[in-house]
Amino acid sequence: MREADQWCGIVILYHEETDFSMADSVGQGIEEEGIPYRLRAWAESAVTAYSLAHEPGLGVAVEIDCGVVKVYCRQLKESSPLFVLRQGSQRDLRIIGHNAARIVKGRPFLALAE
Amino acid sequence: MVQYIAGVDIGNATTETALGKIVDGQLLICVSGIAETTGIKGTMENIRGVKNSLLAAAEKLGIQLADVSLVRINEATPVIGDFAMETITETIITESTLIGHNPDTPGGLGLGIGKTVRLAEVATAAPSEKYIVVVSEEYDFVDVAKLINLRVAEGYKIEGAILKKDDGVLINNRLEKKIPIVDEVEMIQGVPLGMLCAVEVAAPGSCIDLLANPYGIATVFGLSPQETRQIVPIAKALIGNRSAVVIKTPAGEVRERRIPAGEIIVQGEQRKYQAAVDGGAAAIMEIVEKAKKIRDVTGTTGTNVGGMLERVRLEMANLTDENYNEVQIKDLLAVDTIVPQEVRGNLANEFSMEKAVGIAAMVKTRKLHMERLAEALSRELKISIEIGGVEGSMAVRGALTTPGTEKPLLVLDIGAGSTDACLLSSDWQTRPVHLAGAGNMVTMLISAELGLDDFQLAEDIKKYPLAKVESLYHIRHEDGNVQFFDDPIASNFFARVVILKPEAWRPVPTRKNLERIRQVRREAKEKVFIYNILRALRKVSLTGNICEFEHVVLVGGSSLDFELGNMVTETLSYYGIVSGKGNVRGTEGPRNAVATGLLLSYLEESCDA
Repeated sequence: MREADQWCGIVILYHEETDFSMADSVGQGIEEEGIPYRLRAWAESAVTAYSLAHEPGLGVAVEIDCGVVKVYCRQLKESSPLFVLRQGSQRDLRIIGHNAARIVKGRPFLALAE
Repeated sequence: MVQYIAGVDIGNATTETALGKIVDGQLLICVSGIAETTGIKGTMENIRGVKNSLLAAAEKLGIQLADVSLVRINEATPVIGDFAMETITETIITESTLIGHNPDTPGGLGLGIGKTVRLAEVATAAPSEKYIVVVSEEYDFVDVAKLINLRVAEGYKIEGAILKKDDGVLINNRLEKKIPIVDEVEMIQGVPLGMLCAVEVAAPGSCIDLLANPYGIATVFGLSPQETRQIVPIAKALIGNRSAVVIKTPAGEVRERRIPAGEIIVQGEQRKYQAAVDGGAAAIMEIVEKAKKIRDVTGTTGTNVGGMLERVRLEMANLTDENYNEVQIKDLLAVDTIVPQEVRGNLANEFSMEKAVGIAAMVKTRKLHMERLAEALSRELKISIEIGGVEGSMAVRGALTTPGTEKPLLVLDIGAGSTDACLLSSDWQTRPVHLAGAGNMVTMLISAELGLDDFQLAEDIKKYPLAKVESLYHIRHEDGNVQFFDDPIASNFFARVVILKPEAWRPVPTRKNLERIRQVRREAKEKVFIYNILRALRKVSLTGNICEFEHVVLVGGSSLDFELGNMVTETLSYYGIVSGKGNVRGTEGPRNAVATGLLLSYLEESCDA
């Protein structure tokens, strides 16, 4: 399941094709912060963002399912992702991306516009 | 014969009680009560607070209020303090020329020089020149990158970009030729077009080099020595930034101006002394010292300081029903400080550090009307009330119950508005001194130097230690210790500096780091508290030599400050003085000194009688 190469970054796991553009927006936030990321379509049943967050690496993963964005980080329980965003604007999605990267960078989070 | 006697100290913030059970002139037990002071000290509203405080103490002895045979209240020191801040330098930029702005994530790297032009208008510009593109918010970053790539491919020389949105890194990642990009420029429409401009972005971990150096700016724009002199404030405002933009406009001008801040006139015993406020704190304190016994202080009307001095006068006149003209300012404390001020004519909220002087004043009148309060209290509580001695003398007497102290003893009570000291000599003589500048002034300095604009937040910074939230599970205290938690820390605290208030943490909304905030806090305390303590010692001393004192005891609210006690102990140990927080009756800490003094002085007086 692990990425074959030595790549290290934040994986954005999206379930439906309709979630792709949301995943892209989150990715832009991560990119602006200067952290590598990858979009990954959900395929195998065993992979969850929670499990991805526990693989060696930055310890942060994002999951998008039916329009709901969840940011998991290694330190937190599966039942309590760090951020949960339902039906956020494009701006909010970017901010979620910024914040996912900021966990890694140890910088204060940006506030959502909600 | 069993008697219950109470000493009650009505302070600005709390009303404290020392209730004693006295059998045949001997004090058997003494308990304390504390309640919030209701209303302004010395007014009728205080009654409720006094009653609450007495009830709290009576409960501990298991007696009724009616069992108390005498209540002694203090004669309040009629001292009021106030403060003001006067900025004495100002940076003005006419026709904006500077974006000294520090976005979190600028794009690209290096230095770009060219003429400013809107992105859409590059195609119609002369291809021979170099350009810096200005991008407003309606463009998507993908389009911006595409357009820049296209224009560069067409042969246009695009050397840098200024963006409104936070897209610097995103755009840079999509460019074939990398350029420095400054983003998050709020007032993008204010950027002058067709002007020579320099954009500089430094690598992560380093600061801009060229634009923070006056000669660097001179090199870029080909400035004359005279013009180079003018742009010093720009270079100064850019020091420490990771990115910056400087634009040269023909009529543009930057000035650092000294603001006329007026004068302070101190009326001494013999003569008048004058000092200009913009001469700084040292000049003002010099005339305050020279004047020795101050009769009155006035300031130039129309300035902040002049207004503040009149405000203190008015406030005191209202409180004591005295004639406004007869209220005199008896002490002044001036402190130099550096405050961040928004540069006038800026484009992205740039700040420049300006010099300022903070000034505190103190007013003393003959007496507050405690008699009226005593009568009303007596009617309300049906207990006889007596006005005991002066607050200072009572405080020394209470402080003397601190284990390890002896006469001669000096007590220091640092309040919110004034610093009060009282000396008790070996033969029971007391000598009180009141000085301007105390807790509120420290709060003001913290608030001003950190640019907080929030008095309550500055007050919290003054009172409680800081910590940095380093992960979702641990914090690092300001002394370097790490503390772990079982439950995750709320995400709004993550990576922030927080104030460890006992009831709830509070994040400090500033980009300054913990060390800087701590340094500002300690320096403010040193400039006001420590400076005033030394001033008080010199004033009380007959010889003017601080070393003649043996014991200095801190009492009152401010001595509960978590670091002041140690700071004082450290400073005064240099002069061979034993000092520290009081521990009244060996149990009360620095509280209850005046109330205890009132009770004890009753015992002494009744023994004498």
